[in-house]
Amino acid sequence: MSNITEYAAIERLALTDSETDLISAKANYLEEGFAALASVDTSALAPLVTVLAVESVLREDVSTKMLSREDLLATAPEQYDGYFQVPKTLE
Amino acid sequence: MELKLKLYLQESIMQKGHEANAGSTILKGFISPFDAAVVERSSAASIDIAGRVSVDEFSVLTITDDQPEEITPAVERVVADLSGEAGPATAVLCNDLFGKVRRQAAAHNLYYLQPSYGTVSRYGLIPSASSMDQIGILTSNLTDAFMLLTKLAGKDERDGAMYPETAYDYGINSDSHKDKDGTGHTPIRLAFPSNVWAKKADSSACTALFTEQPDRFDIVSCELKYFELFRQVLYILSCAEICNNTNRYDGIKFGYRSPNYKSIGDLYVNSRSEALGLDAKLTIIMGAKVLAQENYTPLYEQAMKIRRLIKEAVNFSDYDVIALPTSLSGEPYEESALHALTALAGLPSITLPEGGGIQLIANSKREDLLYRAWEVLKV
Amino acid sequence: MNYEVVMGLEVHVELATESKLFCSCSAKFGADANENVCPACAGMPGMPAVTNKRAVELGIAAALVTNSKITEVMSFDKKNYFYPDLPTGYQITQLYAPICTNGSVEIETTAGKKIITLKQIHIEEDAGKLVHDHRTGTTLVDFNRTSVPLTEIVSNPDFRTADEVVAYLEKLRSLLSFAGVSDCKMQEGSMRCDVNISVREAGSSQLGTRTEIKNMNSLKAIVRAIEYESQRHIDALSTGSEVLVQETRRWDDNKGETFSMRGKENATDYRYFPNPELMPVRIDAAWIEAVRNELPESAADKFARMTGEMGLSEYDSRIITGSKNLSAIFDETLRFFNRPKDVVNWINGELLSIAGGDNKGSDDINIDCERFARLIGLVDSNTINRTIGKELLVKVLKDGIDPEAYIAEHQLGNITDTGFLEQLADEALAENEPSVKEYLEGNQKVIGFLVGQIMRKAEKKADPKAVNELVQKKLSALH
Repeated sequence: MSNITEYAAIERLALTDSETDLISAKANYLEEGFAALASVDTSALAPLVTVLAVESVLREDVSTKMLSREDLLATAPEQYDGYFQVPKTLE
Repeated sequence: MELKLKLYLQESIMQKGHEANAGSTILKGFISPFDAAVVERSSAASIDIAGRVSVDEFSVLTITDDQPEEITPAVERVVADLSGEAGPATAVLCNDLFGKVRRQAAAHNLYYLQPSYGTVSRYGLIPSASSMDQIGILTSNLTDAFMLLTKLAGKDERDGAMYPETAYDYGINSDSHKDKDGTGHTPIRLAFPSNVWAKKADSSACTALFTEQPDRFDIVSCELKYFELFRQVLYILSCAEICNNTNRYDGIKFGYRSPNYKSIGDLYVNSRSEALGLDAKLTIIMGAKVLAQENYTPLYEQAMKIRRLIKEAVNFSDYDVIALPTSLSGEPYEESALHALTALAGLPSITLPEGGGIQLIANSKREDLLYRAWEVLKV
Repeated sequence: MNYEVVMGLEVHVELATESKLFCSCSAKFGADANENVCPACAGMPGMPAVTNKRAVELGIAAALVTNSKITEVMSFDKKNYFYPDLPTGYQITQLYAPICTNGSVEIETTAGKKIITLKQIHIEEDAGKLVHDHRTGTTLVDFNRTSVPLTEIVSNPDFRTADEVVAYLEKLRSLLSFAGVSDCKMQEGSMRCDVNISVREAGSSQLGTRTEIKNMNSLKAIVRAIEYESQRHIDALSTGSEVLVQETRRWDDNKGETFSMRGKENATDYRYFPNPELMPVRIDAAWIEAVRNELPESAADKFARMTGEMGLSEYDSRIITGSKNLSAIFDETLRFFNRPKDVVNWINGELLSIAGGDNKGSDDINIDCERFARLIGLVDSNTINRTIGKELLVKVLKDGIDPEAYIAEHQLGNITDTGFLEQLADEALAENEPSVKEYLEGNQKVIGFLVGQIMRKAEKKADPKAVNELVQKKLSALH
């Protein structure tokens, strides 16, 4: 079983010690209630993914241009030569 | 018949050219490139957007702060307008995932209309939990809210999770007081789940609203099955979806980027850690936890299955509308159970301050029954 | 100790749709960076995903040509991880209900025919592209490719040799390109292959430690990578020189080695869960039949038809059916000039060598087939002669000229004035008395020389056959 710090790292979050303590305490509090889920027999059931009884919502294959590159990059924190820019990423 | 409203948007609803931050620092500076569908449709109905109100970060459940709950900005806005100069009613479009707005609306003499999931486009709504997100209307005038909803609801090709109906009228313009053969009123069968109402100290004011009109309402008793699991199922499913929907906020494309980074790893971690609040972090971490390989089957999958049980257990053949309290005076996580049914089953509801706060919940796409009930109650 | 190499392949193929899988941006290759990007595929919030119908149809087509079992109700799931080329922080893919399962592909190598079985095919979205900029020492991100539809074709570990892998990839390419599913161009990245490889003692039924090799950009690279990695496994097992670890490794074509990829792929929990925004897609028998009826002719069927009813050689037919593009040129040209033998000769004999001179292969030729057909007709009817026809083909290919207009403008048509031709013939004979004398002494070979002289006078604008007949007529008259 992983602990809070490990799950935080998976989500690219670094917590301070006090954040870790507080979140751990709240997680424990929440999880106390989770145990009750096991008491329900769901072996014959399919999971519910959406409440809608709707199938096959599909879009015609037509291309449109919604944004110019200029507009797209307007709010980019760092951009270079038409690209979004980040520090060197290892393969 | 032109509808006049002072309409506000919570910060999770996008307006072209305006910042939409969904209550988060991580979206600071994010300017919406397009209008939400609800903004387009309001505009088509000649209703302008009067302003924006702040919102809990990504509408997460706020439980890390043990201080007493403050008034939520949406409610504060409507209350402020009411005490100001007379004019059109105020309404705020909200995504009230855990029921905080509804709970506070009832406590401040306001109303809330929650539409059926799949009837109002989520195009332009910054998502929290995609399978439950629902743009609803906080208002001082519930009749106006129904009118507004007729303008907002209907199929949008840009949102795939919608019913096919292109328009809804909720029976507003028809003679809703007569039943089909015109012989008189058909009473609305109103269920008061005993296992929920038993927790309320005094429910007499609520039931009185309906017992006073015996020819309009038939009160029946029922059990709201699995109620003791509602808040856990809601939390497990929503924290995973919110976690997933916020993984896109990484400081790379838009929004907040930390000034402190050397490597790409730093950029991710520092941007997210510096800009996300504590409740958001808790939600995200719990989301990673319930989806982790070791927990998926007993937690996430189990919650999805129980969600099916919850939805199938509300038997709208035995009753037309379910009545629930809006508050049991617990803390936010406990209280979320009361408002979980609409999220988990995608059902519509109206929240009224009358009787100390009551919500009426109908079957999917049966807002007409809620309108009919309101027509009776409001006089 | 005899070792057996066991391999399974994951082939990603970009679907030939106009728009992306979950948004309406163009899915076309070759645009400038970030030109085909909208808020959705740039990871901005507020635009729900909506599934591209054509992508599903092409998935059905892929299922049909691989004899796969089509899933009646397919759905999409989310796979979570952080990487700069993944703007939403998750990839929409299919884990629980992929579009089809249990297909097969028949291959043929020098060792004979073999059936490769498939585990499944699923539809998923592609990621963006990262470019490493040496000048700034940073990484640049382009989202054009984000959410372009892919099918991932997962085989069972049925491969034993690199030859089988190559035969499979070529067969897949033929099946899918002819079905219109994808243009399958490895050099453009519309077909990519990862190889899962393990080694065991010959005769064992247990599988050895498996490694995955990525980043092979050509068939040659795949063969080299397989040879290197299988040897690395064999060395490890036989000498204990290293301990094999189940991991993903990157092929470096320059160095000729694989390298371990730490971090990204190893030991990641992807936290898969079903995507609630995308409604399940029901693929019923009627839809499958509709797609089946629309399927273009397969390479195998076309080969049979070309060698059968068209009476073409296997050699010529193999060249045409080796490329979807070339087949399309063949079909289209036939529409305007319905003589298969002539068309195939012009394509295989002339067009391919002209294109080859520009380093273009069968897949890259782009020609106006109607004008090509007319050119063939003009040569066939002796309006222009073959040599001039070949020169004009270059112009039709490169400049798209209108053959009739060009011929008129530059007066390239064969001389039709028989009187003038006779005159040229008489001139030639008069100017070359020694040759005429040789002919009268019995040397038939001078006919060719005299024909050449006349052709030169006519600036090649004559039918050599007709000129030959004319020369023979005149010479016979001299007896």
